[in-house]
Order: sequence, then C-alpha cells, then structure tokens
Amino acid sequence: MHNNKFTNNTLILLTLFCCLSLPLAGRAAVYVIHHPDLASEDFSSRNLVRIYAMQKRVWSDGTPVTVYTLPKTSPTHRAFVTGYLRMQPYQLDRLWHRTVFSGTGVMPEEVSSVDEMLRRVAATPGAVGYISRSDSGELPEGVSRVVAND
Amino acid sequence: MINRSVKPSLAMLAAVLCSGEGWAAGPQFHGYGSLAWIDSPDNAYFDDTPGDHFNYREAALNGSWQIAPSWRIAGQVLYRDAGAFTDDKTRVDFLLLDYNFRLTEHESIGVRLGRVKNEYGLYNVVRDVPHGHPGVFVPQSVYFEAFRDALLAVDGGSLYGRFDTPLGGLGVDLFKGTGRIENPTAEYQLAQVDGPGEFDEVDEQGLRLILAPDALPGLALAYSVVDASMSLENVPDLSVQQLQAGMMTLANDPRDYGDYITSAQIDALLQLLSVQYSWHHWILSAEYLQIRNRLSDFSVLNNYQPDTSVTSEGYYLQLEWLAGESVSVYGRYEELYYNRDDKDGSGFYQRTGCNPYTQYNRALTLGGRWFMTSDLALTAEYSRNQGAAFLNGQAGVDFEDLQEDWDAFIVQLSFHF
Repeated sequence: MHNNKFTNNTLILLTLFCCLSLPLAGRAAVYVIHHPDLASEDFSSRNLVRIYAMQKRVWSDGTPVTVYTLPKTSPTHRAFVTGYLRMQPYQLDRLWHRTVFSGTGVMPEEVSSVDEMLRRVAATPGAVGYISRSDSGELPEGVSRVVAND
Repeated sequence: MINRSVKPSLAMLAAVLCSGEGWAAGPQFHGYGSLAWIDSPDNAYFDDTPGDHFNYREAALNGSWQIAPSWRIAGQVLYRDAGAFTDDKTRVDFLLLDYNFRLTEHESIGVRLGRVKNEYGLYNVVRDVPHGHPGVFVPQSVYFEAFRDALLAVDGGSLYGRFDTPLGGLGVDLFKGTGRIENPTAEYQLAQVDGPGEFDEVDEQGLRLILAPDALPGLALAYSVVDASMSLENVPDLSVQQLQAGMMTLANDPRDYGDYITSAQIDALLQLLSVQYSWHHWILSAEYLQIRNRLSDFSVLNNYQPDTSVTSEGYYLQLEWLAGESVSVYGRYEELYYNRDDKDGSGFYQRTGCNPYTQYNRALTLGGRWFMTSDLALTAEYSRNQGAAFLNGQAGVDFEDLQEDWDAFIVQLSFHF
C-alpha cells in the first residue's frame, strides 16, 4: 500500500538545505525530507530543533507533526543532529528523555532503513525526516529540491 | 459480547479520540536503569555508615500512547533504592490522561489529570532519569533528597500552556493536588529521627513560568513557586505513664525530643529562579532557591511550642562542556543553608544541642560522562563537601557523628531504551 502511494505520488517533496554555517560536514552529508504538503513551512535549523525536540506539535494548517528518525547508531542520524540541530546526539536524547519520562510527550518514531524513511514520509501527511546525501540517488522522479532558509 | 448499553459509550469515546486529523503510531514503551557505586569515607551517604556501597540503583518502565492528536495517556513505574533515603522502593511515578484542548502552530493549552509530575525548576521532572541531567544526582542544594517525595508529583492535575509571544517561547505550568510522601525523610528532616507519627501527604499547588527569549537563542529563564503544607499524622496517644517517662528522658537529654513529638504542621513557600544558557557545546545553568518555612501546632509531649519561621536558601552554578559525541564534562558549585540567619548552625546547636553541621552544605563537584553506546553510559564524579545538610533525611544515621568536611566518589552505570 505504501509502495503504491510512493510510486504514484508526484507530490513527494524532499527539501535540501545548503550549508551556510558550521558544522559544515553534517549539513553537507544530510538532506532533510518532508511530506509534499509542507512546502511552505519553515525548516530553519531553529525550527528543526523545535520539531525534533517534539515541541512543535502541529504545522501552520493544523496537520499534526510526525517526526521520523533513523537509528541512533546511524552515521546519518549523528550527522543530522550535529549538522542541522547543532547539538550532540546525547543532548537530543536528553530532550526526548525529559519529554517521555516526565509524561509530557512521546518520542519520535524510529525507522530501520532509508527505504522505510522514504515510504513513511511520503505516505504520512505532516511527516518530516532525513536521509544521507549518498542515498539521494534512490529518490523517485518528481522530487523537488529547494534551498531552505537557515 | 459487549453489553448493548456499553456500545454507544464506546462509540462516543471512539469518536472523541478520533477527532482531529490522523492517528499517531501505537503505544511506546521505554525505560531506564542505573547502578551506582558510592564511596563516602567520612560520612554516611545513601547508607547508614561511612564507606562504600552499591545502595543507589533504579529502574523504570514507561508507557505512553498518543491515541489522538489531542489525547494521550502515559504512565511510569519506578523502582528506586536510595539506601538510607528510601523505605518504599517501588512507586507509580506518574499515571495520567492528557487532553490538549487548544493546539495550533503558535500555542498549545491542555490539562493533565491523574498523578502528574510537578514542573518545578530545570530538573525536578527528570531528577531520577540518569541521562536527563549532567551528573549522577541533580544539584542537592536545590533538589535535596529530604523533600524529594513531597515535590516530585501530585495526585491531582496540571494545566499547561505553550505560547509563541513577541518576547519568545513562553511556557506556563500550574499544578494542584496531594503529594504522596512514601519515605520518612521529612520526619528525619524535622527531628533527625523517625519518631512517632508520620508525614504521609502534602497538599500543594505550584506555578512555573519559563521563557526562551527570541533575542538570545539558547537562553531559558524560569520562575517556580510552590505552596506546600503537611501535618504529622497517626501520632499515638500517650498515656500518663508514657508522658512522665518521656519527661524524665528529655530532662536528661533534650536532644531526644524527636521521639516525643505529638503534633506538627509545616507550611512552606518555595520560590526558585532558574537560568540556563546553551552556547555551542557549553551549557551554563544556575538556580537560586528560597523557602519560607513555618512550623506551627508543634508540641512535644503535648506541650505546645511557639510557632517558628525560618527562611532557607540554596543555589548552584553548573557548567557542562559537551566535549564530543560521546563525552561530556561538568563542574558545579553549590551552597545550601537551612536558616539563612544561622548559616553556621550555631544557633541551632544552642537551641537543640544537635549537630550544627547538618544545617548547611557547600560542595564542589567535578565529573564526566562517557556514552559507551548511545544508550549506555558511565558517569564518574567527585564531590568535596563542607557541611552535612545534604545528608539529612537518611534513616539509621547517627547525626551527631556527621563530619563537617567529607568527600564522595561516585561511579554510575546507566542505560535507557
């Protein structure tokens, strides 16, 4: 079911961010991706921190925010956290622990592979995730790339 | 199988839960555990005698389910053995229903009912979570063990709001309810002995305001206030013979008054100022606590004593360096005074004859944490202490033997999943 949505869907949008500031390596290695309905949303680093800290709950049109992550052991996850969120991976974990172990929220959903990340983001309105640049060759046709604000 | 009368209710519940767009994934389960080796060669620390031990360990199992965009349920069971600080080791840490009745991109308002954790300062809600803060323990000058149970959570509810304002992100948390005191730390705090009667619950209400100014990203400022009151309960009636025997005992040594307390009411107003600033890989945190305590209805062998009021204060300054992807290093200096007008405890000694060192604590702590994997960490720290106020609330400790200068070495293994 996900595959059909994936292949038939020309709405899939992946937003790529240029490397404007340090740490350059992480930002250069990773693309942030999101569901196509979110093209007008703010994906600055500052807002990404709010999104990945599970503090931003809905988008501007009221669609719930759904956050996907790769496993913490993934080099892409580490590159994303240090490059875009500008924090250490355990610092992000600390924010998640605060949310979950205080009873005030839930953790993001972890996916096991890049393929699953792409499928889930494509199929879920309001979804956001990330992939490594080296995986971008697997992107389907119709993918748009834009340079986002910082 | 389902009774007809129940079906409409279930349908209505389903309709309520399904309101809004989209369903989140199913329930999540997480947890953590830790085991610490503590060596305190000078004073009893999490144990009833000086020395080393493995008395500090904990495990928690947590479940949460975002059943609809506006509805969530969550709960956590915590096992925590803190040696001389604990009696009951297992408790329901929280169990709540969260209804987020106003949710837009720029504001979120909701209510939580059940047993809810109290938003108080920077660390209260994560004080037991090993990776939730730097160091093995949260700063004892502000989050001291003796008031842990009283401040951790309430059976009642909380109202929360998050707002994007022209100044920045503003968080407002209100709570009200009854805190369950499951350990005799408050009794030890009052009289350094677990005498007759006990403080079982505390009525409390609180507010926290926290602001993250847009003008200076990385900065968070918070003000917390808690109004709490508790009474000594289940005090047995004393016979005439017991009263006479008690009077003879106190005539010989008035320091044993804790064994003969017949009533007590404690009212406390806690105010906490917090600031945290994150800059690149550095996090600077500081908090200042002031407690206005009032002891009333206080009687020893049914002889009522004059009401007394004291103001306690404590603060800490903490710097953490996020040195790498798997290493952090931290240092902290802190002070706590039970009576800011009697900082060396001499007045307390003159009044009660008890150990004055228990009335204050100054400490310097240095430590580091190594994440062996993303979920498994080893933390090591050393604390140099002057004063023994951090040791109050422990059972079985001879407070007269506590030394003014003492060290603590701690190594902790911890994990999350």
